Amino acid sequence: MTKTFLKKYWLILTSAGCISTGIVLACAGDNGPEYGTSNFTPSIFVDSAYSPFFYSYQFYYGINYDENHITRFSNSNVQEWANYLGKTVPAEKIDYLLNTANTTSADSALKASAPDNKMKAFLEYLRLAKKCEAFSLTTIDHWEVDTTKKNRHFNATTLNRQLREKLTAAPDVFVQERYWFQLVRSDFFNATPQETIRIFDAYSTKFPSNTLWYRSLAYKAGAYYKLKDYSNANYLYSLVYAGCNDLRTVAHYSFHPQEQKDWQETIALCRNTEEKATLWQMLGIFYSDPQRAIKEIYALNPRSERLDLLLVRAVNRSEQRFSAFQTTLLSSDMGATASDSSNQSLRTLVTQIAKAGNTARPWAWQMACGYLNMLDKQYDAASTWYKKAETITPKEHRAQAQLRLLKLLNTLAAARTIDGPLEKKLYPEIEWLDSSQADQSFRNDDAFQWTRKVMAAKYRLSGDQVKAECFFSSPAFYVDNRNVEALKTFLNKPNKTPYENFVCSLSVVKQTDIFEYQAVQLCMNDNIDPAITAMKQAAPGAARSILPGNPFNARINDCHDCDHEAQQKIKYSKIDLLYKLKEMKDKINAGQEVYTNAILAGNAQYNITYYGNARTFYECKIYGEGGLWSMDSAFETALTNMKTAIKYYSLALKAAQNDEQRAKAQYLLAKCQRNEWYNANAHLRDPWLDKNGAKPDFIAWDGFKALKQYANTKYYNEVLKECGYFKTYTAKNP
Amino acid sequence: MSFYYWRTVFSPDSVETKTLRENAVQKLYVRYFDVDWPPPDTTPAPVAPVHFETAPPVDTIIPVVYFRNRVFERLTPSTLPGFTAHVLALVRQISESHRLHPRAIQFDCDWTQRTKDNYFSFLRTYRSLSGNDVSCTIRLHQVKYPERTGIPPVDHGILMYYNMGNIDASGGSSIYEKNIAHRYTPSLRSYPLSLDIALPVFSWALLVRDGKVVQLLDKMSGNLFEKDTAFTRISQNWYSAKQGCFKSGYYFRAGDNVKVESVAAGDLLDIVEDVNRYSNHRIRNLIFFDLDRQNLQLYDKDIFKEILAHTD
Repeated sequence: MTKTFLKKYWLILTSAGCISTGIVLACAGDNGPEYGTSNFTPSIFVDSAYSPFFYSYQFYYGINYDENHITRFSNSNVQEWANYLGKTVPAEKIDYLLNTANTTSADSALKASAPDNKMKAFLEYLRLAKKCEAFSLTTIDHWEVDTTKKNRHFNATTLNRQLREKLTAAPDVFVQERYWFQLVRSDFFNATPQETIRIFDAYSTKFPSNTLWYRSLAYKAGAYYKLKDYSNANYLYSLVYAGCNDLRTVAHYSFHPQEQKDWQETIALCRNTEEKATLWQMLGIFYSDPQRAIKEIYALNPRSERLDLLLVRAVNRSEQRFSAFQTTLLSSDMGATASDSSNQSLRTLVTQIAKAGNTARPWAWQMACGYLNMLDKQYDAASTWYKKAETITPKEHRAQAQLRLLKLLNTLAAARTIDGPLEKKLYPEIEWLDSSQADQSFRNDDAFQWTRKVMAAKYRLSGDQVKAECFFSSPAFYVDNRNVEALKTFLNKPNKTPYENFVCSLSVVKQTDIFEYQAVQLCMNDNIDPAITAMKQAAPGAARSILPGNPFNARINDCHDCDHEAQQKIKYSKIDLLYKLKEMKDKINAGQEVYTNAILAGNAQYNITYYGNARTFYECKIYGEGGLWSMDSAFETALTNMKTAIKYYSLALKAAQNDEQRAKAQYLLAKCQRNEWYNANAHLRDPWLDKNGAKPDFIAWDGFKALKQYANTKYYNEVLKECGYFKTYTAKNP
Repeated sequence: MSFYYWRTVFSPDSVETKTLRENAVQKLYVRYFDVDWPPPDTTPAPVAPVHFETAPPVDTIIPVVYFRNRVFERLTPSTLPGFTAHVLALVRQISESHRLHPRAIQFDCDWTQRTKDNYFSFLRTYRSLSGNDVSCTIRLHQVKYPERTGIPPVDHGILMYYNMGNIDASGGSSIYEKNIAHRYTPSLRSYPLSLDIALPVFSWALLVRDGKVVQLLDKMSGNLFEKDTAFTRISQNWYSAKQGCFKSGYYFRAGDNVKVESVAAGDLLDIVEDVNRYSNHRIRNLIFFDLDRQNLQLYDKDIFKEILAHTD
């Protein structure tokens, strides 16, 4: 259910295809902040009273759709009456009477008490005001026909007469203004537009230009709109927009020039340059033509405060391309390229105004100029502008932070590679940016993320893979063990310089993470003793984390969930697994129970791969976690490799003493062969690709072929029962 | 023949009523409301219900309700009955509050394979609850691929013979292109439902900025731009704004381009011939979209009679 406060006559939706303009309306939060990518904080340059008009994916910045029509003035209304009635009347009582009590309660309150004059005036006013709620606070159920349209009017004849009487006989200006407002509004909803305008004009000079006055003015504007006198309507809306904080969004929503003619007439109604500037600002914001608006306002008054909002919006829009800035660092990316026409013309315009230096905040224009130059890869020009801005930027925390941030971005953007002197220059800046992440008063997230990425990329270009990795981790780094050792050495380095310390602190991968990773790799390559050594240096919590299923178990049909849910007398942690594997290896080497130990070791090696029930064994900081497709393709080969499992199952096969044992070993080998087939045909493993692709009924694994000779064993029959593919194979190959 | 009336306030002017009279039109298809269900909302809701300001100048009014496809994506078998009841109630309310008693209704929805079940279930339920004659719009792709999108359980369909192309800055018209239509019309032969045909007599323009369409300019025709000194014509149906300006409530930046799309009288005759040929003259009625002075002034006043004559 929605309640409408002002009738939206201007909202005419047709279904024959109405495509909404420009701005994509998306919810903030799920898709990142509502301002997209940004390094330029609007509230540093523009008063927060205009914050709904900051550039945003939402309709109004910080608000999205403004549906606050019923309660917009509830608090201020209570406050104003409280001030009028004095301290003797508690605010809760006023609040109750204004916002909760119905007509009957108001009536009885009046009858009951013997109030003072002001209280009496308030209660009498309440009686009529509550009657007005019938048309001013209409509940609209979407699925009900709107009964407040023209023919189903609230008959306001009596009410309006009463309001008029009270208006003329009001005891003081405060109460009189309120009756006046109710009458203007009642006329708007229930009488003619002409009457609305007449009653507004008759009294408008009697009252101060407070919120109530602007609320009434907005109804006068609406009346003109009903008369299709767009020139006057839009002019008045611009006065509301300029004069009343609470109604700014409402005035914006209602502002709607139709033809050049009425727009020009609206301009002609302005009494001074400030009113004209307001109109141009509204055009520039609402109709996405900030450059034209800036030009017009600048010509009227270079010092107009209205310019800065337009500037910031234009910059916020233009900087969305920062998300792709220097992301592919080929040498060609560093040079200047032609930018698109509106970015070009914006930069020209801002340059011209920044050069003249005669705006209210010249430093804002200089900063913007520098930033736009950087985005167009004109780093030297940007630098020059920042130097200029430095001398006049106010010594206020956020303005200084904004400049410092922009300068850092430019210095880094301009560099091709990172050398010692550059490190020295950047170190304090990056450290400052890092520590500023908690500071919400200016936008710095995107800058920090970008800085990390670009430092990494440029270190790589300079040949320093380790520092690159610390700034921005990338999985491919860890595939080569020489990299891993180099990083370990760096993290471990004694007597680090302050900068090196800082770089280490940035690394998301710590020493313990590296040891854990190496332990997993070593184990998968069957180097158990070194694996144990490494795992002992991993984080204790990691080494001791319990595997969800029995890693030494194998099934005919892989079922990880079944294994996880099954009762386990002994649970194994990662380090326990390694110790057990070592035990088994030792026994095999000593020739003890080779078959059993080889099968069990083979099972464990199978289970710690992607295909097994112990994926958590390899899930760690470096490998990542959560399924193969959320892990980097760099690790795919390592995590799906069957060679160690095959090694042990083959060992078991050789040591088998009877057909049952041989059957089992062959079948387990078949599973490994199947997995290798999937590795080679990866696209069939991904359920999102090729749903209807031709998957064969079965493939004659070597293991299947060999298993056939053990048709007399119990195990063979179990496989036949549980493995449909084997069944098909035997049927087709009798 | 008849017309669609698609404005939120029902108030045909003298030009429009004259057209109805001169062509002996006895039936008007009036959009009652749209239904949409934008993602943040928890329920579907009607949009801009019609308000009758004058009595209809024809004998019969047939309500039309337009559904955005996403409504049926989000409805479930359990919420469908309640929704159907709401639609029926609102249709009845609108009719009763204007003393109308339609016995038929038309639904307009560009349904897909995914929403087919819900939509068809809605149609069936509505029909049995209301006892009305139920028809619905069919688009060309649904005629060509009935095995995918299904054949709706209605008494008859209305073939929507427009909006076949993409709305973009490319050469063709998004409203009607003969070669696009021809990809679909052969399928008319075997389509099992009996069909009326809805023909486009509207024009609109696309506001193109930096090669991309940023706004649909409804009902704006070439004439409007031709006469406006703020625009220069750059080719047959393209105009360019010389400076920033307002026009019909829209704002144009200097350098914005406008692509006007409309359907020539000759095209309309072609359409009828094609449809007759491919459907073996099985087309029942013509309905023109839509009755609006701004559309009517694009054509010779005898065009409708001429088109009708072509159906024989």
